[in-house]
Amino acid sequence: MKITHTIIKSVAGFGALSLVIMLNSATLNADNIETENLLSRPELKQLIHEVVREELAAMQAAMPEKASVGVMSEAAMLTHSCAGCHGTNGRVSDAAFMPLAGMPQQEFINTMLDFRNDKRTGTLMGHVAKGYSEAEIALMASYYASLSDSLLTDPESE
Amino acid sequence: MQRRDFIKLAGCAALSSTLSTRSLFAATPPHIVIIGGGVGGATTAKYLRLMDANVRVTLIEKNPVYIRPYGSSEVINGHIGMKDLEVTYTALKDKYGVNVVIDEAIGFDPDKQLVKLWQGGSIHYDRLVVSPGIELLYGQVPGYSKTLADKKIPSGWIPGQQTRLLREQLLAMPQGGTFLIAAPPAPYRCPPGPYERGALVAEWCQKHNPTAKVIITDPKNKFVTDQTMMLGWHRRYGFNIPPEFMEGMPEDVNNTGKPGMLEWIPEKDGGKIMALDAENMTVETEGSDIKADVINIIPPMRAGIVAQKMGLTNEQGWCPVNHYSFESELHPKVHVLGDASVSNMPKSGFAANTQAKVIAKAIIDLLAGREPDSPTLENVCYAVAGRDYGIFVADVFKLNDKGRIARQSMPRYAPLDATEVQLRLGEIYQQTWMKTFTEDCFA
Repeated sequence: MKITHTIIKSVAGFGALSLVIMLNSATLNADNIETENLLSRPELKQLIHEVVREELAAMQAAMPEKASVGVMSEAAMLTHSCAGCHGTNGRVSDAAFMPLAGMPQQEFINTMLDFRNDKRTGTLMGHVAKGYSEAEIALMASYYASLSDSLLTDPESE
Repeated sequence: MQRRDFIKLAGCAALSSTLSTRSLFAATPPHIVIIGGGVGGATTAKYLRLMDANVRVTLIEKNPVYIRPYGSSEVINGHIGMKDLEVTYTALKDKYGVNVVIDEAIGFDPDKQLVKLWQGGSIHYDRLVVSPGIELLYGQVPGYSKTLADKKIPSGWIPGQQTRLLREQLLAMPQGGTFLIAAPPAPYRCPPGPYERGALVAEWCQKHNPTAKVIITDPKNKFVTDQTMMLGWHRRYGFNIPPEFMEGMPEDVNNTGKPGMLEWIPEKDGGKIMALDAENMTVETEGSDIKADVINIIPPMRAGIVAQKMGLTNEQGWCPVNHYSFESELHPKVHVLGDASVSNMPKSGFAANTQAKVIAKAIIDLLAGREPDSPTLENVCYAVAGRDYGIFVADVFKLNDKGRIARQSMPRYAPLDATEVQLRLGEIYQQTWMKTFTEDCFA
């Protein structure tokens, strides 16, 4: 299973987390690997963290200049529903959930649309994304893009 | 009291840099008083201060430390301890400048807009938010009472001593014993909760008491997450999935017909609880009398007592509200949220958390003379069928043409063909959510 992560690192332009899931499940089904040969629980969590950070690192270059979008705007109000998992204003202390503050607008839109169209595998985001219109997704994207990112406040990322 | 509060509030005017500096109310800061420091009350307080640094917020809560109900069944199987459920109000006070008053609201004067406190005095509000949680109606099960719940037949649906007692009773259960959970009628707090609890107890028994039985009696014929939870029960605890839930089940399902460790008795099979005989440790259901070594009754419930005292409840014991602002239909300028309020949303922490943000915005709009917007709300409940087996229900809500909260049409549950890794990730997310969610509400 160690190769899984190497493969992820070498593939650009995909939703990396969905790739993890696909690769793991493919291996599970194809080789009928015994449970003890699978990634351990801490390894799996570590893998999520690493993949999330890699996705974020890939985005940093594309960070746009910040426009100001108020915390009470329609855009912000839509995002406040994300905060229960992804943290207040998209800043989260455990990056098992993707931090959303500062995410480039198009990145957010593409990811949500991929979830909505079942092009990206996950757990529940495919469901949640179906509850929002494209216009609402674009609004949410504009709010998160307006915030300065603070992924590095995540102590585990040091 | 009022003088002391005034001084405290004045001290809160020094704002941390996390707060918004723009305000509509710089000249005359309005005062919002919140009764109840659970998820709904705490989130409202925090987001009010995030949205407008010039509103003054007082939170009245009788317990100095919050014991979170979400995830509290994990105390019973020893996955966590009671200490892990504790949440403080430190960040609300220090980071957000919320005036936290540890006291009990005992009534209010809606005309003068005053909340009366147990320790004396009263506090004036411009808008009042009530987040009262639930009251458990032990007496609605004949033979059951709060005294019995505290000493012998715990409910553990509001976490505390009864949760600890359930843990002790599970540990003390004889080999091959029976652990009975009586699920409540709808509506109730934490829809997947009774079934997740059954799974957690069964998982513990597999390891420590492998011939034990877990029985869930139910006054309903379906429940939130049913098919997905049943699939987990089947895979882990030999549960036989009833024929009416078989549609779309994956190929690995193989109902043996032999009794597994976990059994679910729905209403149609006589699962409705009629009475408790505590002396003989027997529950009388419509179908039969069931003797058990541990009896865990989750009784019917209604809005928390303070909401009833304030006249905010309807005949069913819940609080009717306007869905734009959660303003009470019975008292103007009073907003009620969370488990106590009437809507199509589940009675969950996540629901209370998103309602709180809608209320915070609506209150600021109303104070500024604007109409509240039509809100979008969300609910996500993670649940586990055991270690490495996480499932969920996810919903997005908007208002319908009658101005009432309506669930958007979308899939709600984990897919029945979820891969093993998706289920493992679901459980990792469930565990992570306990932390990130608590932070969004309290920190």
